[in-house]
Amino acid sequence: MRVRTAVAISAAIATAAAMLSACSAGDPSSDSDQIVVWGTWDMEDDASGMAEGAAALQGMIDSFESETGTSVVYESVPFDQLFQKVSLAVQSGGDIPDVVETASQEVFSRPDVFMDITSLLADAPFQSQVGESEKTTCVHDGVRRCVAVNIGSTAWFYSPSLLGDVAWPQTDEEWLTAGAELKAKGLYIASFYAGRDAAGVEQTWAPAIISAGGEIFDANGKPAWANDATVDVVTWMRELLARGYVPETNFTGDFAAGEQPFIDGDAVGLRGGSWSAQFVPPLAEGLPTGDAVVGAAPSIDGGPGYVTLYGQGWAVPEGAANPEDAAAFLAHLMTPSNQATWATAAYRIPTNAEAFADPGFAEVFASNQAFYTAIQNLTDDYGLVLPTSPCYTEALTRLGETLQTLMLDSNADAMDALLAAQNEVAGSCG
Amino acid sequence: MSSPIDAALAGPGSPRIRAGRPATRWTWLVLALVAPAAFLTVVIQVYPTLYSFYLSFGEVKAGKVALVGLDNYAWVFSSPKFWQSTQVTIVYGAAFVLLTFAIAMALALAFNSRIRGKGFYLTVIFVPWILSEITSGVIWRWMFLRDYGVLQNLLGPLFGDVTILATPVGAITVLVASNVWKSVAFALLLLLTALQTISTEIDEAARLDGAGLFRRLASITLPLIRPTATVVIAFMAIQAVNSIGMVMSVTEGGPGSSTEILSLFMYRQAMDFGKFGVGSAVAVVMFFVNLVFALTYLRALSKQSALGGR
Repeated sequence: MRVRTAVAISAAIATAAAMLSACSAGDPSSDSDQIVVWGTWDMEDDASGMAEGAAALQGMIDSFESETGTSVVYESVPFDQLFQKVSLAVQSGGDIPDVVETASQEVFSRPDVFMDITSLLADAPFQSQVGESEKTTCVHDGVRRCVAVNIGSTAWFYSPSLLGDVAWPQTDEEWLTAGAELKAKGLYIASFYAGRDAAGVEQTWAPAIISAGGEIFDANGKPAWANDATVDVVTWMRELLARGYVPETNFTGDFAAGEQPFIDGDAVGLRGGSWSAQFVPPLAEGLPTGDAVVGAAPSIDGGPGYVTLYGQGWAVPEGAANPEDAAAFLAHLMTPSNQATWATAAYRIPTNAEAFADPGFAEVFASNQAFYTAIQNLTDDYGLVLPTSPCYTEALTRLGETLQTLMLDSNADAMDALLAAQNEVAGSCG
Repeated sequence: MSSPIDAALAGPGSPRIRAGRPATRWTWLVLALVAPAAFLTVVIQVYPTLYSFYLSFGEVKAGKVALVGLDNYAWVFSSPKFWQSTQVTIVYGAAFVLLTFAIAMALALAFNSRIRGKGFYLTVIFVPWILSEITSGVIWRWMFLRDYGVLQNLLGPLFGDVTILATPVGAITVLVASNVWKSVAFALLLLLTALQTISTEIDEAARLDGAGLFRRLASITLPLIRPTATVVIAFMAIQAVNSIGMVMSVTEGGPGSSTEILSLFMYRQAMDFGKFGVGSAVAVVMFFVNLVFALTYLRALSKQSALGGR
């Protein structure tokens, strides 16, 4: 009996140990001929606006595998979860991919999450071919943490036929004047997403605040949004909302709610991105024919009308098992022909100058020249990369919540609320 | 005094376990049967709980924990957002528990009488309970969409054409309503079972003595089902503190942060902002709040057992 009991207990302990070791963090890509890639493109998707980009990426993966013999394990992650997922993986020491797609702001907001790949890519051919915009988004203080396969920006579009004889407004005062004229016609001047999360701040609020001479972060990355410029922007936005020139869903809805009034023909303009034609039918149909055009971003208090610059970035997370193969994959994405494919599929501008000579992209560029030229001018002249901060996401989220509260409660004192939020985040930032 | 396990074991041919008696083959069988469940409980519940306590005193970077003493707790208790979330949790929790209990009680009383179509109505009431939190939350969110939401278009004009989810009061009201809608079936089930154990003769006698409906409810029904009622209230309170799926899918904590309850505050600190230590500190605070409700729940459960299931 005692022997049997001892054997039973030993077996139970062995089983438990085996289960626990199976639960522990493994090394998913220790095979040197394999890399794990996380991206936002869903390879199973052949219907939505992202299908073309997914097909383009699949083609690049196939060619990389055949050229190098390295196999690629691709995992699709929703765009609004990717950064969080990779941050958690790196921070907790979990299953870390070799390559991740990411927006450039994220890369520099969390240098502990993304690897310094300067030396790994020092000899890559694209280094001598890319322009300043690529380096602006992926190289800070001489340290490269990503590659940007193309550059896009937020952009203000409008429908000339809906606008009629009213001029597309450029300054904050012109917005109020044009808003009144368009309201008389039963139209909103524009719909846009200015919701309570980091994206709402990055894309709508921050360019306006910086246009007005304000700032979001100081030189040390500490929150610094409690300034007169932010109050001016809040006052202007409150005015637009209170007079009914813009829909309330701009501030309370989600991304889709920010696009819907434009899609329905209820709003003359849309603050989207250069990529929005993938998702917004009136832009896909209207941009090549001139029924939709790119307009200037609002200039507040006489400042430049900024747009937020986004590089479609790819990076190598800290702790990746195969950084050399990962870097080779990034270099592959940056070749002129692959950049041309990306730009065509995603309505963006290649960062590799030689991609413009690619026959496929040259044809696409010629067929939609007004759009591509406008985006190129915007990114060159008004492109804005937000300063980095050790508390980037937390700070922008808190600011977004505060701005939403201020928009919905017109009696709340803007400076008091901004200052309270700023002090709260500053206490744990750094 | 023998425990229920002793009694269960005391079947024909099974030896009784008594203090001081050496372990028998039967004892080993019991231990072997309990072992898998005990093992899973340790791995899935005890270990993560203890690890959360440990993390609450540390900061996680690159998979390593650096101990920081009480810094995380100091940050949490000095954070205005923590106190705001606590306040929101209390308001939301109180409204949720009271309304769920009141509605479930009213329905239980109705179903305890002879009404036609009882099975159909119970089925309808149980549908929300079997839906996932996210599905239920998305349904409610869609019903309150500004332009296309059915309930927004019905109720919005009654309150000056406001977007209901865009006002703090409206958002928390919708949040409470959606959670009550989802949870009332479970409370109803427990209360109805308890009501069915009350002898009709007692109620009949009180009625003959001239006691009205409310008097009978206050003096007979509620005292007799008090242990079950306590279980329901404690269970709902725990659910309110831990609730996150519905909050994330209905309001995401907005507008502003007016519906950000403690569980969402904890989630955001840990998952969105990568502050696992702070998130764990909030989790520990929530653990102790839940512990109070859990002890109340266990106490009520043991009283219920003593009363024979009511």
